[in-house]
Amino acid sequence: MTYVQNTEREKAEMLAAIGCKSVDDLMAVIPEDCRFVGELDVEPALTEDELVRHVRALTASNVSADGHPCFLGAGAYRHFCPSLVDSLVARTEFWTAYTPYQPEASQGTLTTILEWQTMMCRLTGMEVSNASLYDGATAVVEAVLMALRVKSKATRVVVSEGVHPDAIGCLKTYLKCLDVELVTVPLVDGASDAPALAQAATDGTAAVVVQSPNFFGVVEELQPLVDAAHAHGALSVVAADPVSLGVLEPPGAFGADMVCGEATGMGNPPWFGGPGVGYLCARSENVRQMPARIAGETVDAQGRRAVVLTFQTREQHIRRSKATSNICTSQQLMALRATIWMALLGKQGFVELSEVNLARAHHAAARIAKIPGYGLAHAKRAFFNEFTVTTPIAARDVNRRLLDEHGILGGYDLGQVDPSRSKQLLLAVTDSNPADEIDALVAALETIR
Amino acid sequence: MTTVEHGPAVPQQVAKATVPGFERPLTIFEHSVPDRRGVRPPPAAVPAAPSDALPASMRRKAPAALPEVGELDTQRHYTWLSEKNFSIANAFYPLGSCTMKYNPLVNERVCALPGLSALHPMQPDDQVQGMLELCWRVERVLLAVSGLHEVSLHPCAGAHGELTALMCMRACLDDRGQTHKKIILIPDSAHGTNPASCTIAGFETREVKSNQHGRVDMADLDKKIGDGHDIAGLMITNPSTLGLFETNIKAICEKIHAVGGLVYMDGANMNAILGRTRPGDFGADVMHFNLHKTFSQPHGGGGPGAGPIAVRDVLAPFLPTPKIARVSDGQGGWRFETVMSAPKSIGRTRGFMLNAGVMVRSYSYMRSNGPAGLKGIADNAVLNANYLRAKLKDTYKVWIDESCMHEFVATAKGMPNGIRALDVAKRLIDYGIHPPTVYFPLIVPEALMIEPTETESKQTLDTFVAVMKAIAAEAETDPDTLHTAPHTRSIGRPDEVRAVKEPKVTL
Repeated sequence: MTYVQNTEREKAEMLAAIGCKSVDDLMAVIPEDCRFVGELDVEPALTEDELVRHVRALTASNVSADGHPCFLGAGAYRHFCPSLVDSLVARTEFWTAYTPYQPEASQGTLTTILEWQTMMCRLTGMEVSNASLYDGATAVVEAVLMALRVKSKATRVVVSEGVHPDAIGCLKTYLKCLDVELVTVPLVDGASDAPALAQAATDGTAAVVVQSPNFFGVVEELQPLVDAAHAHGALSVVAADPVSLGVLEPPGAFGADMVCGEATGMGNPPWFGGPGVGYLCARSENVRQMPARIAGETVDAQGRRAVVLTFQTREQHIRRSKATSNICTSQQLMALRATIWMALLGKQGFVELSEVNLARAHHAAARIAKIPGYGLAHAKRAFFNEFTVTTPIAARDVNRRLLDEHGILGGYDLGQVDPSRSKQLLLAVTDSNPADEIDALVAALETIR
Repeated sequence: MTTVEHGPAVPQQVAKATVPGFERPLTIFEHSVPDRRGVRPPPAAVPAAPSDALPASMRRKAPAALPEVGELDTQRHYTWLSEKNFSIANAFYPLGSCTMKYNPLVNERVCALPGLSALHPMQPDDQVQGMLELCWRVERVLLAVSGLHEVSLHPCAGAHGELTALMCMRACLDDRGQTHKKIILIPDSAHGTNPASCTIAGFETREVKSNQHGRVDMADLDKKIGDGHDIAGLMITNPSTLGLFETNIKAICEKIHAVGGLVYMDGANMNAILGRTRPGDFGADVMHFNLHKTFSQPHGGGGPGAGPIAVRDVLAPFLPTPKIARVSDGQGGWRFETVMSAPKSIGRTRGFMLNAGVMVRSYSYMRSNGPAGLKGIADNAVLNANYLRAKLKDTYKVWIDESCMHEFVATAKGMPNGIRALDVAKRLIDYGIHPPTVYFPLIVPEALMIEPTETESKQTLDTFVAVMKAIAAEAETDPDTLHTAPHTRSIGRPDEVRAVKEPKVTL
């Protein structure tokens, strides 16, 4: 199958217009000793029908949350998504459009970016937002790199172990290249340790990074954590699940300098981890240090309202090696889904959805905590839609039996990140887990000792 | 509206007639009415959370001021906004270096197969064998077309692939005890992401000049290599951003290798060489692919994409984790595993493992085409570009007028009445054609960088030629129309200076 439209006759006409006999003549600019001769070693072409059957057969062995109750979160949360989101994003004018560098030909996309930036700022209590980033983990990295530009003499970054391990992993990889020291600070009973963070964040620290709700589900008491960053002049970076901000006071209200994280759950399926969408919000005084695209409103010569990409002199296509980042992608289609999702839920619906998460998770946690052998690992801490459960046998075996015996996709086995937590299960209970799924989970756990 | 014979349809325009005070609001926020509801979330259907579930200090004091709109108004608003966009589905995009080709719908259909999008990234390997195998098969195709030894599907985008690959290069050099090698050579025609990625990976960049044929100036390369002591490597785009094959590529790679450097190949223009030449065969040690260019993942208005990297064996130990491995299942078959760490790996550069949705679309595209189809992509991309070059070169000076690959760079320099590349670009919009890339590469003044891709028909190319000639004629006779173009969109040229001086980045 080919998507080339030109007929052999047209190709001949075109070659004649160029003044050569064959495409091989055109390809002769490739020196002979560089040419690839023969057929590529790839599998044969499939027709459209064969292709659909093939991929269906190939992926049939997957076990998916489509057919099973699923309590996995650990950074990727499933939420209700209105049908209209799919319908609107399926408009080819959105999904086949290019990056909106030509504003007159891109007012649709540009306006949705301005809407997204506004919504994210209002959710997080911040002043400026960019058009989105690759994902939550790289959003944390970009916030830290931004802090390193603002605090250009700093050589250290402090991060709480409550931050998602993928984000900490990315920070390690990136900061090693820049000779910046990364200090990780352990949790105390599942929550970030403000005095220890403050102690680690001595002079020369660019940022103190925390996450709330943190990786173990604990909602952090943000004020002392933000203050710990500011005590010696570091910037406070808070990663937050935006869905939690329907019920949680936004990090901006506590004085955070950057708020960032994963926004995929808003209108996007988990897609095995990607493509997702990250977000980054900041204070307006630092807007020129932000990475990636930013849309802004202006007017045309007739005074008509227009939206453009602005502050482009920060970006790689102009500043090259001195750019604020190398990024020239925004996860626009995912951000568009999130934008429409937020609009459809609206001011009240967003809070209600957030409350449903809170209610269902607390309902599930209370019942699971009563099952003999099970308990809450951090019972004194507040949580939103995810919590750490202690298990009577290895969490991994709990998960295996949940699936084999009850058809349930369990939680995240925390032994994978910390061997001392091998009997702890991280369970996410969201609006995508109706009451009967919670009943089924509780009933199943009662049989798994 | 301006038309030429057989002209493509201009994207649907919004209604122009309005009653004062009843104009359609620009943003969703202006549709908002207090207490109006859109979609209601599912009810909790369980007891409410205890009142002390969250301490008062953690409770949100006032709800975020999101819009309050109904479903129908929301549908109309975003439908109306979509109509203000150019897209592949409604316009030709001769956008150099961006490879705006047809996005086959079967790719979307395959993506929509039950269960794929619902897969959770933390599911154990035995539950996601199908997805892992599909991704492994994508890796095989990338190996076949690159001639390299190992692939990582980890990076989220082309520039992220560059950065991830540069980190692997750094780790490899450090492993060899060559921490002093800090300089990456970059030709002056390179994409801006190349030097920007170098900075973030902790390298310094040194620019290499192009010669009058648009190729790397070999004498300048020698000079910039010097004794080679500090040379970590070279980043080169081949075909270059001028659309030219780097005829000295083997010699260039040998010079870098001779001083212990590594050659990075920017695979942005892979579309032009599929099945005709392989970077691994001409000396590249590492490259990235833009799956959203070469393998037709839709651009989505700016993303998502994916930027897998392929490497020679010397760099393989340093590839990021997690990565996919195929191992024997002990019963004559295979199973697929997620390798979470490796001794010399740089670690991770993103959350989770890969952009699976992009992999599924790309796999669909790869399998639709097969070996002959993949080579046909390059052949027809090159044919279409050379056809446009031949038909336009008497009207617009082609900067390096010789046989090109998938794109060529013309210039608006010397056009009459002060007409600039920007004016030509904006005027094209009135004819329903997306502008080419302008003012890039930086080494060409008033650059118009034109890439038709393989999926455009001769009729569309002929129409584009006619439009470009009409615009050249207008430059002589009616320059004001060009200076003030476009005239057919919902806005004219916006005031970009004001957007910086009086920033309004939220509503």
